Formats: sequence, C-alpha cells, structure tokens
Amino acid sequence: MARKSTWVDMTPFVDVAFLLLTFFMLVTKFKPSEAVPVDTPTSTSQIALPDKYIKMTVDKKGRIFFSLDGKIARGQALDKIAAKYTLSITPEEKATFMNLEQFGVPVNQLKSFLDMTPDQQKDYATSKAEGIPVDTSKNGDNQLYQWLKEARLASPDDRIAIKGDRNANVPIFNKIIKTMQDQDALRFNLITGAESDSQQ
Amino acid sequence: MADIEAGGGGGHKKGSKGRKKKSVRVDFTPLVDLGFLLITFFMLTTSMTRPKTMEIQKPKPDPNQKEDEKTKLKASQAMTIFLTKDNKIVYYFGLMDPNKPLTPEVTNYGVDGIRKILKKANHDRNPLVDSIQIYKDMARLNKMTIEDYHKNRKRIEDQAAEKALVVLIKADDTSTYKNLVDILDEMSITNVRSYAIVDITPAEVQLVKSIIK
Repeated sequence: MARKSTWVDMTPFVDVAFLLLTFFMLVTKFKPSEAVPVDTPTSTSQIALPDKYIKMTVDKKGRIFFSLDGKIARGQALDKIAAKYTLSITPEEKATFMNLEQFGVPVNQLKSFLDMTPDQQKDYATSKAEGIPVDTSKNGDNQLYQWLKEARLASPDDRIAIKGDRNANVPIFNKIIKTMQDQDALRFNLITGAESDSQQ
Repeated sequence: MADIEAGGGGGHKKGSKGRKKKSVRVDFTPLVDLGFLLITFFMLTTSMTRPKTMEIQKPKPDPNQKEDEKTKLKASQAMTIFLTKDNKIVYYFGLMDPNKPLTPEVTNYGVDGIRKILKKANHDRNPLVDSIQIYKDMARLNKMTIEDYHKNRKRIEDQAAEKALVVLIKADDTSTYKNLVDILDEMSITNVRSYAIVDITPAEVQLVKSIIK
C-alpha cells in the first residue's frame, strides 16, 4: 500500500515571516556604531531624542568621545580644526574622518589615528584612546570647546546631547557643561534609557 | 511541503484516460528560511527603543554678577541636596547660617528615600502641588493637551510662588552620573518647580565628609 505523503502547506508561514520582517524593518532603527560601550542610566523622561544631534559620549573611565552627524559637517569641522592646530590632513585622512562615527583622540594624535586601518581604530578606541581633552582652566587648551564650536558652526540646527555611562564620575560632566556654557550652548539633552516603573 | 499547485485549469478531458495532468508545485520552504533569516538579522542589528532624553536648560553665566546677588533665596524655600558616594544623599533645608546650625540628614535614592522627602516638602509649602500629578497623568493619557497641562501647572504653582521649594543640587567628586540623572528624574517626578545644579564648595565637601564616614 502506497504511503500517503504528508504535505504541510508552508504558504501562510511565509506570510507570517514576511509580515514580521516588515514590522521589524519599519519599527526599528539601526544601532549606531559605538566606539566604546556605554551603559546609560534610566529615567522616566518621555522625550524622544531628535534625529540629528551633536553627541558627546562619556565612558565609565571618563573619556570623552565626540560624534557629529553628517559627512559634510564632519569634513567642515575637521578643516577648521586642522587650520587651528596647523595639522596637514591629506584627502585620504579627511575621507576616513568623514566616515568616522565617533572619535576620541587629542588633536596631536588625530593624524596617526586616521592613518590606522578601521580594525586598528576600533582597537585603539577601546584600549588606548585618551578621549578628547577638556581643560576648563583659564588658559588651558580646551579641545572639546574647539570641536564643539566647529561642530555647531557646521550644523547649527543640531541639538547637543550628552551620553554618559552611569558609573562615570560627575566632575567630567561639570567640565563638559562648563565648556558648553562658555560658548552659550545652554540647552542640551542627556541621553537616558527608558524606565519601566515610570510613576509612583 | 509548501507548494502552489498550478493545475492549468480544466478542459483537458480529451486525452486518454491514463494520462494524468502534471501539477507544477513550487516549494516555499526556502522562502520561509530566508524570511526568518532576515528577521533574525534585523532583530540583532537594530534597536527597537529609541533612547529617551532629558532636556536641560542652564542659565547664562554672568561674570559680572556679584556673589551676594546670587543668593536671594529665602531660607524657608531652600533645600540643598548633596550627591555623594555609595549612592547616598545628604540633604538639609534652609541656608547656611552661622547663627543656626544645620541639621543635615542622610537618605538614599528611591521611593522611600528622597522622593518621599521631596513630596512632603513640596506638599507642606503648597498642598495644591499634589494635583499637578493628576494633570500630568491626564496629559499622558491624552485626556488633556500639553498646553492645558502647562497652564494648569502654572496656575497651581503661582498660588504659592513665593513659598515654593527651590532645590540646589550639588554633586561631589565621588558621585556618579547615574546619581545626577536619578536626582534630576526625581525632580520631575515630584514636580519640583525650580531646581539648579550648583558647584559644590570645599566647605560643603567637608560637611558631607563629616556626615558620611
């Protein structure tokens, strides 16, 4: 007697799979690449982050990383900084910089950082990078101030956001806030995660 | 398996009895695999929750402002919160006054800690502040527009504006960023009208150190 084959109709399954796929494509957003892992604190704030912003990331060691949206804006900021600190940036280095989501090196190391391969850069960011120096003393060379100033000139409509690790110490944030106050950037956002137990 | 049977319709009765119509079956199983592979990819590479933010507005620093002009605050309004190590909070009401010693106390973050104290302090100064929460909930549930919420909140706060609590937040070097975000969050939860992040002075650092051993 011939065995009857069991046909399972997979067509609805395909429908479900693609429905879910469409849902995920529409609802989610690509994770921005982060040079360093940052564990943000949570808050009950319901305000969503604007789409474009200048971001200063502080990792748990207190190193500052800077990111600016938009390739053209990045290029402009780099040109200005290079002129200010008399760096000779080659077109290749500029192209690398324009593709860089985030960086945290002092200006004097910027050129050697840009000459590295992407893998080396990643390695460097997690281990050796010093972060952007922020020296708020009167005659100090506050490089964060310069970067922020050029970034704001390059994309004037962007909000400024600070993303900090929950275990970073407060003094570094006071320095960042002071740096911003020095150039009249008085409105800024603190990036936090959402908290579930919102009320009471 | 999953397939489509493309029978080609009727009208083939002419042929001999034994000849069977051959169906075209398309197997959909690999398509399911592909679908789920893509889903997995999107689940891993994207993030569902957009990060939330807290908006901060700092006052414009005025270098010409004299030190004594800064403290126009009444002692009855003032509350100072120190953020320090081990997630502890030291707070006192009133202002530094040589004639009247302060009574700083230690508390922690959370529902039974600083939140209770802030709620009580707010309530004692203006009992109507409690109803701000009701308006806030209504605004959140879209039963009230944001403009109406702000209008109502302002109306309530203006009734006791000269008594309202003013919180000074001072974070020392041992506190963490999480502490700062938490306390700012408590400010919005307890509907404190005015609060400010202020730099801590060396004398205050000593005060906190003497309380937290």
